[in-house]
Amino acid sequence: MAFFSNSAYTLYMKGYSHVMNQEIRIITDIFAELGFVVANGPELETEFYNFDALNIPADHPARDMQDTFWVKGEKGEERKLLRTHTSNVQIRFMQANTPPYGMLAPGKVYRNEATDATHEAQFHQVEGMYINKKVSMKDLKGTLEYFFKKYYGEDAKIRFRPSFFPFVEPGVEVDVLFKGKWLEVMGAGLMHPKVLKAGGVDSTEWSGFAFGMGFDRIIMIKYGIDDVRYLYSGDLRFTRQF
Amino acid sequence: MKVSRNWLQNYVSKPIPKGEAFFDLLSLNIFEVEGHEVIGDNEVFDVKVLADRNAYCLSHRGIAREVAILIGADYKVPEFLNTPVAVSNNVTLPEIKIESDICRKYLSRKINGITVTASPDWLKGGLEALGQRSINSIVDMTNYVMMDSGQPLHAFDADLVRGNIVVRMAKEGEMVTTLDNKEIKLDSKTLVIADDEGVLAIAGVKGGNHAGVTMATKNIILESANFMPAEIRKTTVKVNIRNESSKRFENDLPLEFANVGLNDLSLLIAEANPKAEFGPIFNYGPDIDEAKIVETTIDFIRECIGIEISNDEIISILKKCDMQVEGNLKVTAPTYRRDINIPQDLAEEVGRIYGYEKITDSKPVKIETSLQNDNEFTTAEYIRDLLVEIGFDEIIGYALREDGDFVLEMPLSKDKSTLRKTLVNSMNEYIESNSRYLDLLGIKQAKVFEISRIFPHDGERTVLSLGVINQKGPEKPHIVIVNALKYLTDNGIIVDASVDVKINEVTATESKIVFDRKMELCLSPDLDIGKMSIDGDHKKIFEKEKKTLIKFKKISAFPFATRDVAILGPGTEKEVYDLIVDIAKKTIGEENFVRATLFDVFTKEGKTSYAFRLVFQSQSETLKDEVMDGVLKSVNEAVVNKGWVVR
Repeated sequence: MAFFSNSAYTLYMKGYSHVMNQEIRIITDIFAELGFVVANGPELETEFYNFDALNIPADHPARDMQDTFWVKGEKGEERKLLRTHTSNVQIRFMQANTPPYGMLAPGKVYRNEATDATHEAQFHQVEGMYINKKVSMKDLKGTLEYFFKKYYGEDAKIRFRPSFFPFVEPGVEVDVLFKGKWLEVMGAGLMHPKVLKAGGVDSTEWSGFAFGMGFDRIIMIKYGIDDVRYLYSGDLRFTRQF
Repeated sequence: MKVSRNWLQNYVSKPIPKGEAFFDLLSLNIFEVEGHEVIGDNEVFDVKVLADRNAYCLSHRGIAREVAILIGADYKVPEFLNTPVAVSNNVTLPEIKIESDICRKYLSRKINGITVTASPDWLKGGLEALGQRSINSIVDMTNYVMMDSGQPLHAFDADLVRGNIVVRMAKEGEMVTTLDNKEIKLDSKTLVIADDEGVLAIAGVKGGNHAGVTMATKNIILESANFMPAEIRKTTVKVNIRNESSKRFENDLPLEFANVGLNDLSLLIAEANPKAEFGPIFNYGPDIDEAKIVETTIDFIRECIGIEISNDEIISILKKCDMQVEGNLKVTAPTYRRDINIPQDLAEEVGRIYGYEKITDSKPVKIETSLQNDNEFTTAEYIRDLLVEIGFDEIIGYALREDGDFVLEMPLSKDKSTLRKTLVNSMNEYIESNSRYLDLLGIKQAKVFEISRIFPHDGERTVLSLGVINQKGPEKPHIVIVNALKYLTDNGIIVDASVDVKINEVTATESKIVFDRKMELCLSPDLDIGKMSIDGDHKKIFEKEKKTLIKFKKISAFPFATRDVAILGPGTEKEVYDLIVDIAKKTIGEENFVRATLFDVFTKEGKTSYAFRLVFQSQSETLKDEVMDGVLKSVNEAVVNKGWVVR
């Protein structure tokens, strides 16, 4: 930063991009090394792509796991909502492309939750998906280890803890060892055959792994940010620190 | 679910690990354990049972089974539970009719000659350790057996049941007052347990207060039943009651638990009431679910996990889970497992029990592809780099506002009840807020951009929004925006002809918000990124930046203040700056000094005067005027000492 410019206006000093997008770029660059492409999808989504295609049917307790912003629609139309996770992009990507491939989908997601220092109704997730022949939990672990070592440093270690998500089986929570503590950072697993089917992929021929991480928390821990609401405050006192 | 270690131990043939060891055993192999209480020589753990295992693990028996598998022990049921109570034919149950398929199983029996008391310590303490309130001996026993076996049970005061019992749909508008005195109006899609005159209970959800068990009760009717999960779930939403019973039913409780629950409860009641007489059991519905068969190969399971596990090891693990294994590979799952349906479910059992930590030496996948990154993403990233290069700062705004086209069904608040249909209104507000902090940030002009989705009626899209604000002066905000867009198009951003990028004083949007009259503001319209692309021939290459890890500095809630000082002297700008900053930091403290920004340079007769704006802010208080005046005083003294002049 130049303190010594003669110009009264700081026209030619560099600006600051948002830390969220800086970190997303780091992630997409790391996965680009492995051949993963970046994909996008709608934030205003239909019930099918957000739930049903991901093996989360209506009237199922699994829907309790996420608080949804349903959007008022026209009668007779398919029910719309603000997507609760970036997993909708998995289905759309599968429908549009032929395997094998790796995909990364960063983006905004929305949950109907009261906001406080650690919870926002709007936040970011990064979704990953890889489809090929005979994909295994070992492939998943190797890929995530590669990513976390690049992101946090060579000392980073990960571990799997069994968990349940309707769209993967086996399902795991992934913890990463950061500054001596184990932190829960993402959900992951092998893609459920019903999800492959919803995407038009033949599960007798192909299999895949998928993962999703809530990215706000990861950034907050990395930089010591104490309140998630800063990220969406539009406040330059925040943006210009990064 | 809260579980007591001593209670689990009843069912496990080897000692169960304690404390941290218990945490790790479960968390790494089946369920996360949160929360831990030590009560005497016992421990209570809060086990986070996963949704797909709720059917069989919301009980001490269920969790004990899993613990036994993980520590290589046997799951064993205490012998005394295998001898049911003696039946007396003198005890007659009212007639029971089941009139709906929603009821999949119904067991009932009458017990005569009981006394309802306060619960003995072991029962009271056992329930309270799990966070359950003690009510009376009978009700507590039903809760105890539920926590033990997973089967919800209910007891009615037999003398208050009018005539016969029927399990039927409620009549539209039929009323019931629950045990906790809530009046509920039911609809014809809700299953109830009723007698000749009215509703006794909302099936699977809540008992009514008409035939509730009290200290006066002498004869009871027990119910141990099973219902269609989706229907119970719908009922809980309608009547707005969710409890331990409804939770178990809505997770597809195995049919076989009904017999276990009734048997165990009868034995408990018999022990506390040795003179009671137990009637025969009314039994409706299948005793056990059909076993599920999953066919696959051992190779498939091994390939899912991806490491060398021997055939023997795989089969051994499946057998430990109570599965029957034939050939290669036909697996019959135990009837109480709702979560074993596809070969991948078997792979999960093998993987988690074998231990995922045994997956080592793994490599990342790598793929050659001709697929390209999403166009919008690439364009947005490039625009971001260009704008940052010419001094724009990025914000990410809030998508929920008051003025959008799409409305939320259940908004958190009125001002966040719609999806924004433009970025302009929020940019207006954000940039106006930021204009109050220009001095604190050390800038004369705020140049801001946002790239986000908007949701107008005709379709979601990603747009770019620009905003510029500064004090009225030679620098015109709308010219800055015009120049910024020119910079984008000069560096290879191609904009579809349908997008209006002519920003002049007529087409630009000017702020409608009342703000500091000394400020000028210009906002661009929403610029559709979907209608932009990159001309490779004119694309700028940006070097990858090496980021240093900063520690975020808390944004102070206290006001910042400024003081201006202009110094004339032979010193260079750097010398003057260094002096001012040094003195200021020493006087007010380094933590309260934010910056010194040069805002004017004036040369006359060979001498140059430099004017700086000093900015102070504390993290813990509003700095007093005297303190800041004191800084100026110290600066002035230092300047004079150097032979320079304060203007």
